[in-house]
Amino acid sequence: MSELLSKKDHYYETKFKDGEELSLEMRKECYATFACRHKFCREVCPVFREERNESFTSYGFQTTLLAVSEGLESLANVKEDFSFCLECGACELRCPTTLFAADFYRYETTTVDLVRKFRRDMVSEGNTYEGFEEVQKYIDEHMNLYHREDDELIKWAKGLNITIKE
Amino acid sequence: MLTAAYNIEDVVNELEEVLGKRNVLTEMRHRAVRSASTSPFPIHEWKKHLPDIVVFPSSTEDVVHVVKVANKYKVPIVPRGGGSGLADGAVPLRHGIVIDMKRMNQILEIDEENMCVTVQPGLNLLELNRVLGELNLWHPDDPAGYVNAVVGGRIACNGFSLIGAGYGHTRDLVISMEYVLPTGEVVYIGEGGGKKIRKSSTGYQFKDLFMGHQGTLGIVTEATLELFPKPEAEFPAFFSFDSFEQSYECAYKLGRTGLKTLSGVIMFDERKIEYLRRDDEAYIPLPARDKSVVATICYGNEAEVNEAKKVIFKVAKECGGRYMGEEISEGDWASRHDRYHIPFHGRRKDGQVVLLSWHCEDSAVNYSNLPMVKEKWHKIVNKYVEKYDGIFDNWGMFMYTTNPYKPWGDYLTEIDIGVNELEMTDKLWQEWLNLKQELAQVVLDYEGSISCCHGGTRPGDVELVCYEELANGTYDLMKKVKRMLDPNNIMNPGKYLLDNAYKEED
Repeated sequence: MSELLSKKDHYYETKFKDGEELSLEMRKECYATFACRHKFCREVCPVFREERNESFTSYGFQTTLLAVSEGLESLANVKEDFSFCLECGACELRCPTTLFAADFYRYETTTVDLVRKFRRDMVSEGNTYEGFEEVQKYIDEHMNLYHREDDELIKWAKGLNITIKE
Repeated sequence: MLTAAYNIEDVVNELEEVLGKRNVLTEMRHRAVRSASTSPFPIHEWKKHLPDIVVFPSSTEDVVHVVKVANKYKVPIVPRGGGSGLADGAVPLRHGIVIDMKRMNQILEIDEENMCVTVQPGLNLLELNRVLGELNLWHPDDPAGYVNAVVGGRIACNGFSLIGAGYGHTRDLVISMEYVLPTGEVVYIGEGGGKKIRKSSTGYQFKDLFMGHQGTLGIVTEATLELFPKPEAEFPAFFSFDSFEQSYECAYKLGRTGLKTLSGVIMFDERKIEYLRRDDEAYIPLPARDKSVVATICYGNEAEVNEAKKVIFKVAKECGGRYMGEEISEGDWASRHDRYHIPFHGRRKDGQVVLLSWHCEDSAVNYSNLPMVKEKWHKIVNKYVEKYDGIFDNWGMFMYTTNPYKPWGDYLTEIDIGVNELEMTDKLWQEWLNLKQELAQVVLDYEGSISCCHGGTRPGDVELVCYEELANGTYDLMKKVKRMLDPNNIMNPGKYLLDNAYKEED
């Protein structure tokens, strides 16, 4: 247990599978955030600012997974919580552990990677999200920044008080 | 895995009628996230601390409804704010309903003329000051958990502010409150009858009673808070010393200067400096002779602070202090909230990094007793660290001025201890409680208080708090008040051993 510094290999090598135990490395990784408990990741999270539900924040994700590893919950049940994250990374920028441990210990809190891994593993298991395909289709058709001439996203953002550089 | 004697479905149905389905959660994942606060948590006994239901009220009316339903079915209620308390106030001991206040986060009124702001209790302090800052205003409540703490939690825990020696602590910064009592009545708590009046002589003064009760006497639903002009100048200065004794003398002399802008003096002991040297990231490397540090912080107008600087430098120099430079002083002060604990700084005896959670054992100790408490505390903690390598770790001590508006007299005295929750067992947990109890006993021996800022509700503290520290009549009075206000023992039952209030006839 004590030789713990995660290389995060498990992000690719060990998949989340419902009904199977979490890898020891993942357990330690989730514990690092649970043990921190600063919860500074919370108020900066755009989803939290809307929802005010700490289950959908960095602390929430890792605590929920720790609860899974303690046998309290199943991965299939926590799937919904992982549908909220916008992958913006604000929680990572505000993480005191990353701020003070990243360089020296080569350890960062990588919540966005965790969320992506969770979604990837669930979908590859055939455990997709309801409406997943419709959302993908909508994004491809209306919000794809790279393949469209007109700025639909910019039009959409009008009135939201966002500074947009011309 | 429902745990209660009452029919959860009936309770949920009645709660949903008023709060709506979105605001009443029973899924295990939401309950599991709301089992712990910030202090060491017995992961191996997680199930014992699970709430049955999580609710999110949006208004005072919602809170009243929850409280009434809880009384009808005799379901415990545990209020949860930021979940950053260190006395387990938000940890459910009897399951029941966790009432998560974070959706009540509105600023209701900013009154610039009378310099006060009225807010809901789920509002975060950093967010409050972000809004106030645009008006050049400031609410100077500054806990370690500033970035995640919310107003309601500050009130329920009777919080400590790092700059309380200049601006007062939470209780000094709250003017009045709206409260939902344990039976569901809504009352106004303040000085006299005016919501924005700071000093009145009418009636009984109940404000202090409703601060620091850890959710045992009701739920705050609105608070009117003090505003200050945003200070022109913020000046932190850190000084290093050859010994703790020199720091100790310097802290006293700084207090005796009488500087009004001096808003806090903090001492770091030798062990704390040693801990901070563990890696290069947390602290800029210090010369070996730097064994102890005194940090000072001034807030005020430029003119005042510029004069105060001269006095502080003179006193520190006379006591043998060396100014540590702008980079350390400003950097360390600016990151004060971020680096109070990093789980990677734990070490085994052989130097191996071990992930540890943070426990801060706090106490209120008079200046004259600090050296004795410090010596005894280290002895106790080191004994356990020696015995349980990799499970506990000694992270050194801080001492903060804590007397409101006066940087002298009382000190928040804390020893930080790393705890390995992931390898916790019943036996180790018991040893942990024994360790806490030994520390608490030292504080009582030196006529201090077991907690300066967290509360005395945790196992290991609570027995000594109720049966020794407050045995002079206060605990008996607490029981009478509790029984009168909360006849069904609904509010946060088990905290402060207040079940006693319903067992004994005194």
